Amino acid sequence: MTRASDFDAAFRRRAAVVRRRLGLRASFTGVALGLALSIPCVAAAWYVRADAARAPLAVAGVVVGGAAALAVQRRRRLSDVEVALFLDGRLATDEVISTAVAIDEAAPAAGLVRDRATVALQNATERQARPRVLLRHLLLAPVALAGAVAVTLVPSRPAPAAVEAPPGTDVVTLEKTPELDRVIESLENAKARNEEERTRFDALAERARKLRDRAKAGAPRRELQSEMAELGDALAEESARDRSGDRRAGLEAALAALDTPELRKAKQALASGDSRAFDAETAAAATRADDAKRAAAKDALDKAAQAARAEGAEDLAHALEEQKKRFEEAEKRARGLRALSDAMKSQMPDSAKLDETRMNEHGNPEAERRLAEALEKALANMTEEERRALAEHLKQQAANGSRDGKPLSEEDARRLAELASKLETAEGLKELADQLKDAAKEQPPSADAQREEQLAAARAALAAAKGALGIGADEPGTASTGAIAKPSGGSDPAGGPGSGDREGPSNKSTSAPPTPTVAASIASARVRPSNDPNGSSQLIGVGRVPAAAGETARTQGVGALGSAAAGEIEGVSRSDVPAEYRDQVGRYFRP
Amino acid sequence: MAESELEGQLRQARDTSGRLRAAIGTVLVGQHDVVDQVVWGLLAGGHVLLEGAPGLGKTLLVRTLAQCLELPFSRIQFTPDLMPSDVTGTTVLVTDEHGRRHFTLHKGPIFGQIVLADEINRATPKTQSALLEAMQEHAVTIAGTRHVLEEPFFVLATENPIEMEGTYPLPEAQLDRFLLKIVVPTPSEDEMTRILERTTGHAVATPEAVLSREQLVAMQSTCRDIAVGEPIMRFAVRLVSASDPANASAPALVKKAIRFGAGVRGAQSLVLAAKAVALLDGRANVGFADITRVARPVLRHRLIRSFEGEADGVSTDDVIGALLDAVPTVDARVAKVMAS
Repeated sequence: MTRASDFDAAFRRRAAVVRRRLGLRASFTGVALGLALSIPCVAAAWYVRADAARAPLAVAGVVVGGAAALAVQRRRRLSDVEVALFLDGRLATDEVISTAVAIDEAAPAAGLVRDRATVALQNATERQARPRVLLRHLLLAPVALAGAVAVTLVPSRPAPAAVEAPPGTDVVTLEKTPELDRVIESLENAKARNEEERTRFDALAERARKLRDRAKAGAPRRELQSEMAELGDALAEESARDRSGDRRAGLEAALAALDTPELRKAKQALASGDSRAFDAETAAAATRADDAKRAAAKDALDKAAQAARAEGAEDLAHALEEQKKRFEEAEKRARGLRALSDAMKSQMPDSAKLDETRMNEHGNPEAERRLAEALEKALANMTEEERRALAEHLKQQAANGSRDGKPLSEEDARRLAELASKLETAEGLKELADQLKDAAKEQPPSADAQREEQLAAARAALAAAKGALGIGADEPGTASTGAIAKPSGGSDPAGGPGSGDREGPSNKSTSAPPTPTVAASIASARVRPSNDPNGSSQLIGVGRVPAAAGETARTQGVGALGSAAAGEIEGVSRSDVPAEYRDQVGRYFRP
Repeated sequence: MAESELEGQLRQARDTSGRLRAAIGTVLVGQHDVVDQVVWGLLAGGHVLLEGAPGLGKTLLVRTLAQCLELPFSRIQFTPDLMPSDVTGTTVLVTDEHGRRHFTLHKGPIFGQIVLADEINRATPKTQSALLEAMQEHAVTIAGTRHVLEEPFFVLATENPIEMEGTYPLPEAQLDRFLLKIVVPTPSEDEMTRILERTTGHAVATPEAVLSREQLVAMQSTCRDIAVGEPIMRFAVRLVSASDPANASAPALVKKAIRFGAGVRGAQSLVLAAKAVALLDGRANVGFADITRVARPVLRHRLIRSFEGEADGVSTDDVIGALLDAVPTVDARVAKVMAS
């Protein structure tokens, strides 16, 4: 007969198999679930391009799923009675096994029940008494495994296409900025008419300095271009200050006072704002031989200064008074040359005589300089006896008060006596030679001309700086037909675009290269000026003006061609301009 | 008890039950389930209430059973004028041969060992109570003297579900004292044909005696020895608990159609009847299937339908079917493992 211990042994063996297989099943289920749950995690890693985390996530899903399932299975471990009930169900033993497990030892049927339970357990095959490990839902495992492997091995998500930056937003860095250095230098060297103007020039220089610092540090191209354009506007405003606003009346009054035949060209130069030409024309009028015309011209200058002052144009009046002083100096210099040339006619070459004629009749400064050079040479070539003879001759003329039968004025007589005394001594001779050398040199410009030159130089340098940013070289001050011409008589102080030792801008953006410059001398635009009574008029009544990219539409403020309305900003991108031209048109209208 | 002896008892019980069913079958056509259920009640030591239309063989079954068991049989036809003393008996004044007069106990039909209480619902409650007290106590008190009834004492009461006019339905508390309520079905066509063959001729079948009184008592004792595991007892308890509409685990049909559920006596009856089933099957232990098998005859007279249940025509058998569907035999976790 089977004993109770036999039942215990048989049951323990079967129970161990049941529990082991249930644990295995739970593990497989956990692994399958872990794999399935890892798929979205791995997919998320793929989506955020965390490729390095994909394989670990898949492995972690397997490990965590299996471990969690084992933990749950251990926590919910079947009791002996529950295992016995499972076995009863599987073996169809009418609950004899579970009864045998739970039955009281003293129960009358305990032995018989255990015997029958033992027989049932021993007669059952392994297959009958064990739970299935591979259930239908475990079909998820290979599917999840394939999915996890696929998501782990799928190629990395392509990097997002680089969004093309809006035009002008690319950051530009100018490592060297010689153009802006020249702008600053020109503004610092410009002679200011007064303290107020000095303050404005210093402020402009400071703006240029900040602009230079920003360009070196790197800033959006559009902002740099806008600031450069605004600085150019400010410089243009300074150049046109005498011809704008309430100073216009003083200029008109001065021009009216200068309305004499002797100063006709000087008047035109003043009207056009060409101070260097004004200097030259005034000097020419002062070197003519006709005393009456010189007197009329000097009187006109005096009246012009008074008229300008009467209209409140104090700066212009001051400049005209300076011109009058320069006129008188030139007149004195020419008179001395004429006296010496008369005395040394025999020693002068024919060319010098022709220059004297030109000087006397037309007031040609070049002829004056050449004459001074010729006289200097002639004086140097004279022997001692010739100089003494010449000095004696001049003394006699001064004493007689006539020359070549023509009476001399007291002033001329005094000059001849003074010239004779200089020829007699070595010191006087040296002084005379120095005066001739000075006359042979180009006369320094007036303060206004110098100021104008520096401002023009600053604008030209600024235009070159704009060119470095890709705006194009067709800038005011650099184009041959620009309204603001190069400084007359000198080389381009800015050196022109690309003429310096500046290295190219280190463009850090990926945008397309600048649009090639259009072969046109003038870019015109319809002008609708804004009339600001408190501000300066920058249009000066000109309907068609040279324009540069960025000068037609400003994000804020008033530009050279008017103000940009809010709806006009980025208007190009909304317009029906063909795509192939949109970039070029956009650059043109770029603020 | 030695294990071999128990095993022998089980084998004998299985054999005897087979012979008993065969003996009854010589007289009664069909009704195998009814016969089986009556035998369950007999072995479990409980009483049985038979419900069925007239002419379905209820009385014949009981009489045949009594013949097979060689036990004293008595029949009480319940009528409205039946008195308790007609059931239990009474003392009467008699004169002996010497002319002396004295009271003598005149035993009623309750003193039989197999008692047929025919149409029990036709007697008054007072008379019914006299029978039901004897069923519960296995003793009667007559004229102040308690008389223990001889074991085995087995009452089979019948009820006619039709002709309810003038009847006295048994109170729930008294119905609870019947171990089983067996519904006697109408015979099938084949069974009816065989009934006609047997009952319309001259031949009268007499069943052989199969079981002695001592053997029956021994089998009843063996029935009590059948082992019941705790999971099976818990299932019986869950089944009974779920029959209470106030219980949270009660299915919706119970909550709707039942006013009162079964009680402790119902659970006891489930286990006892299941033991009888196991015994007749030759097993030493009760299984879930045994409980399920006896659930309807054990519980159908213990569930009191609500007005709504009666109005909707929901039978207690329907409710028990819902209970068996709703109450799991084992814990859900084990059931899940078993199902996989």
